[in-house]
Amino acid sequence: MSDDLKDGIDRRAALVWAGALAAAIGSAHHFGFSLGSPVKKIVAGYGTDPDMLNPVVPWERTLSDAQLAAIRTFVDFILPREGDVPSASDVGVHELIDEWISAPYPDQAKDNALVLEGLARMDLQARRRSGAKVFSGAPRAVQMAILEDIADPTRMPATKDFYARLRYLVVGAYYTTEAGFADIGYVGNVALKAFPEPSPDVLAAIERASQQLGLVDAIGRKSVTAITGAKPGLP
Amino acid sequence: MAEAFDVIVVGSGAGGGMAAYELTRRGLKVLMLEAGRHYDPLTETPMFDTPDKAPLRGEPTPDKPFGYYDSTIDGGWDVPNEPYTVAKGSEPFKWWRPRMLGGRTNHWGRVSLRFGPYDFKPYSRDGLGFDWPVTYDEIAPWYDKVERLIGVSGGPAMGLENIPDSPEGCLQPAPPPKPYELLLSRAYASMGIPTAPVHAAILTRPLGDRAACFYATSCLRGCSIRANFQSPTVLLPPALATGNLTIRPNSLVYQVDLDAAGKASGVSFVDRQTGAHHFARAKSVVLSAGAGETARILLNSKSSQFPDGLGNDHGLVGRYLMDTVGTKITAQIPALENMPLTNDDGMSIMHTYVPWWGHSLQAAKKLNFPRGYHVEMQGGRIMPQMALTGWVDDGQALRGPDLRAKMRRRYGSIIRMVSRGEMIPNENCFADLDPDVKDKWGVPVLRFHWKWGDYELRQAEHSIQTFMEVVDRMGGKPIGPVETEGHKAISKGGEIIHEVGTARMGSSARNSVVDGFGRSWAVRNLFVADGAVMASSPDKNPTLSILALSWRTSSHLADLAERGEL
Repeated sequence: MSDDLKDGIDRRAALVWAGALAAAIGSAHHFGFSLGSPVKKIVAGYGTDPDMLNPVVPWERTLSDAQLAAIRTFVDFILPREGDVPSASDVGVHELIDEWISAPYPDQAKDNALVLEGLARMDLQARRRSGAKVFSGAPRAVQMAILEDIADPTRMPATKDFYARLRYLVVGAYYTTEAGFADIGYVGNVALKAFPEPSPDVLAAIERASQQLGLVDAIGRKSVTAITGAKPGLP
Repeated sequence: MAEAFDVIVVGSGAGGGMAAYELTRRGLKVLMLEAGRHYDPLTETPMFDTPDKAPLRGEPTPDKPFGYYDSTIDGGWDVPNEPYTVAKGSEPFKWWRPRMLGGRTNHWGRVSLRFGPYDFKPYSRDGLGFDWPVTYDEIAPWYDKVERLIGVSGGPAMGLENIPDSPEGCLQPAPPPKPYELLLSRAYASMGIPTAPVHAAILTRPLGDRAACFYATSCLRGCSIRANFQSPTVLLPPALATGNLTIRPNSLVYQVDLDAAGKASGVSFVDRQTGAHHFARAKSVVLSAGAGETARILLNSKSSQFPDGLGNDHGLVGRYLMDTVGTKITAQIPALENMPLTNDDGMSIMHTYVPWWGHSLQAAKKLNFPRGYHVEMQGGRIMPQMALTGWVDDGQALRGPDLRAKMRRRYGSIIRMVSRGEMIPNENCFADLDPDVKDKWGVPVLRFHWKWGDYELRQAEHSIQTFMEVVDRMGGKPIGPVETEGHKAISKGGEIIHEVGTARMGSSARNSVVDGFGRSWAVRNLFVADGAVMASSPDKNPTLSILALSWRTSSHLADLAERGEL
């Protein structure tokens, strides 16, 4: 429990937390941080020959309403709405997290344990700081303060892995949507009649970069710029 | 099966598809037995589908180990009901198998490089491995034919040592390089290393009734417009159109049967759906099940004549298993940040690659490994996946506007380089039958034995040093730990999915399983037409060569049949 003590949790709170965590993972007999596989209903994956044109997710999502609400707040803490650019929850990232940690596959089961543990800690913090039963029931200012603390592993070392992994999932889930494509600058996935020759802008940028890096051609004609007829040098 | 067939072809991938193409054109009645289910890329390929339409953003799972949209059906590193084992004390070995029409031609990079003159005579050059019983000049006309038939883009001629250019008229034009490739090429050029347009089995011009690539959707999903090479879109339709081809899916062949005279009379197979065992009869048999399954069939074909397996009198079946040496690096290149906004999808593989440049260094004994590798690359603003966005994110725990700005700036600045290198066959790498483990239908399974040789480990180390030099010259930094020690840097056996060599061709029955035409020394109406026949495994990806060799083998078989010599 040394990590919890660093978090400033007293012994009584730690015991409360342990009970909440045990409940969260569905087992009264396990608490601690090396939680092995969570106890959950065995469900099937999508199998080795799923319909790729009409994908369905065959497993049920397992987060409770309160947990999903907490995840929703978390994903928008990472990627809030900015003007016309949608937030993470606007594009359903919280639902992907629920789908992800509920999946009957080994990697996702590991994430399930990590995320449920982290959520239990978020609930505990909310209870300590506001008396709310769960994170999603705490006032928004309290929620934000908790997330600010979780985002800084020097303040909350116990949730370091939880935060890093959930943040990874949020970032990945967001930028793999159409909205994410637009935000990051992915302009592909459209049919082209031909693949374009590098534009003068591109050639100029490559030339600038090459000069800055001191890349001196030691071959001459056999570099790809030569063979494709794309001349080094500014247009 | 009652119908009379001239030839049974086992497998429908590169080797089997090409065999069916040639044999049916020559008027022979062919029964193709495919272990997997029927598959139609025209109606089953998820073109343009985005990650958010798939479960788990399409990320790999045990059900679909290369991701949800990967074309592989009922397979991957494990196939249900069809286990394999790795011997105690062996280094790891992985075996990728699909169970679908077209086999692994549905799932491959489409890199289509010819083996060169040196590659057919490696032993003569450096005393290692084995020479092939054929020369480049003998195989070259078949490469020409294959390139014209399946459609390979590439060129123009580069004149590089042991990297054959194709004669005029064989290749379609290469697409222009992707922007990031220009900078990578400059970095390699600064090291004196030329880059070249890759040869790819992807159309840049229409070919017959097939459309040209429209530069979207990964080839690993298959291609509904038939712009890349897959056996079910390119080889099997014309074979079926002859009326001479019968395809029986879900038919897992496990044995070649012999008649009283010692000739192949047909094959035994199990129907994977019903579990029923069947025998199919034909005048000759072509094994194109892939180097692993072909060896397994031969080893399981035991008789009084061949107590250790068919053609295994000299213990060569399953021996000299090879894979490609693979290493990789991922790096972030600040110089690629803020490049003009471009659509970098292109062909789903690189347009530019780095052919092996070290022949003269090896001839001058300046390298501590005898065989080469080429470098494949990936980069640019390609469709985001979870892993890619993980690399773009620098892990500094940014959020909100700062995170978005950093993602935009760094996106397109991530490059991946992988080496693909030659492995020299060794005594420690082979497959035999597991004495205890059987598949669901009671057939003994393969047991793999693997140990990379020192040459491969040194080559792997050299490739990592090269990558680090390139990344350094580009002013970039590797992402994640870089393994510089050979054993840690090198891929696992089988992992590159280029396993070849288990029934190699040679100049006599004493030193090989088949002759230079892929014809079994032991049973003269039995042929092997897949990667199993390869006597060496050059750095060049094997599929194009499997196609060329299978075409030549099948043509020879048809010649023999016409002359009544089978």
